[in-house]
Amino acid sequence: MSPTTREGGRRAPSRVARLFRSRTTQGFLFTAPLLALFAAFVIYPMAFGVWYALDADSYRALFSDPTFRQTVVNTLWYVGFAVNVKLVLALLLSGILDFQFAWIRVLAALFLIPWAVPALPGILSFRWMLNSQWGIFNHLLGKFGFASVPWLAQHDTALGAVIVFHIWKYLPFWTIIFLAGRRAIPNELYEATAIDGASALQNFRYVTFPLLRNLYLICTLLSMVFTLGDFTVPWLLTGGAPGDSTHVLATLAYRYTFQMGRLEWGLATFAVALPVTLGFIGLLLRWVKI
Amino acid sequence: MSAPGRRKRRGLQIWLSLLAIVILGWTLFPVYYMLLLSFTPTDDLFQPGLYVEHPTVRNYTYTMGADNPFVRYFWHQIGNSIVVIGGLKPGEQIITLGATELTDGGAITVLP
Repeated sequence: MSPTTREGGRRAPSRVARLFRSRTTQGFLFTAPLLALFAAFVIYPMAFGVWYALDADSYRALFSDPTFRQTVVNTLWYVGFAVNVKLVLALLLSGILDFQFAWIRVLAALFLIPWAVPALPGILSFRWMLNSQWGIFNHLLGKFGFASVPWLAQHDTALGAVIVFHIWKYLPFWTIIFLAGRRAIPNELYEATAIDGASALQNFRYVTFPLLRNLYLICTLLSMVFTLGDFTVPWLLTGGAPGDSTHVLATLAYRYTFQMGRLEWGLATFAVALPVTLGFIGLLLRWVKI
Repeated sequence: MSAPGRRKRRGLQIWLSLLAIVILGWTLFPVYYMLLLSFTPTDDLFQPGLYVEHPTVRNYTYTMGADNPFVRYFWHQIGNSIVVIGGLKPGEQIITLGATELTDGGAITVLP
């Protein structure tokens, strides 16, 4: 259609003007800054990483490296075991914090301290407590006549320390999330079960848990995604020691990249976990129903 | 409230208190140890104990007085932290809020 003028009528809008009037275009224009930032800081670095991780030689090197195999096992323990223990404990503890006594509020406030304290001082405190020679744990063990344990100097207890620190630090946060979930359950349901004479266990089994199930699953996925990429806790607590046996994927990628100068191995390490992460995100989006 | 009801409630409180003691011990001991170490003089750091024998605030005066090459830029670094917390975090929240607006009507349903 040509932009003709009709007698006494308005000029028909040109193609460009019509384009600008379309709601879709306007929407894109308004979101353009965000999209540009997203492209520059999310899409580009990821494409860069995937490009470097495409080299098949890196994977051959990774899978023939015993440290890498040990790291995968460690990461499974860290993500599969620590997260689930933490969330089960959080679910149970949120039940305790849900009681309506005045002192429970004080308990909740004190309980939140580990989450509020930055990770580094907490980790330094744990390292000092667990030290083989001057740590308080070995000191107390010695006082009661037990043999001292080289906590951070052997694989099992060192990985255990990482898991325990993770639970200590992040348990309060997830407990508060579950507490919020419990508070969102309408009280009428519990009044109804009270009339039917339900026990506390039956309340949990038939009312609380079914209603918290979705929240629980989503929290599990979120926590697994967070923990899979966690670098701070394993790196600062053990640094992969003893003998590179307590690395997780993030710290091993750091070691490959910055200590061995193998950027492509570092990126391949993350690329190995990428399908898992993407699967988690896919499930999350389906459950959250965005 | 009837007498058996009160007794039941009392029993509940006792059980909860016992659990609370365990929880507080687990939660606060590392925090306590962290503070204890911060008041310990350097020479005593390698003598483990449950309390400080010679408490000192020297570690604090060192740090806050920037009285050591390692903590020369202490106040500058505190400033950096304040800039990051005060500037970056609200900005992040605003961007996140904007992003949720984009998913128009994407009600997040966690409770069925």
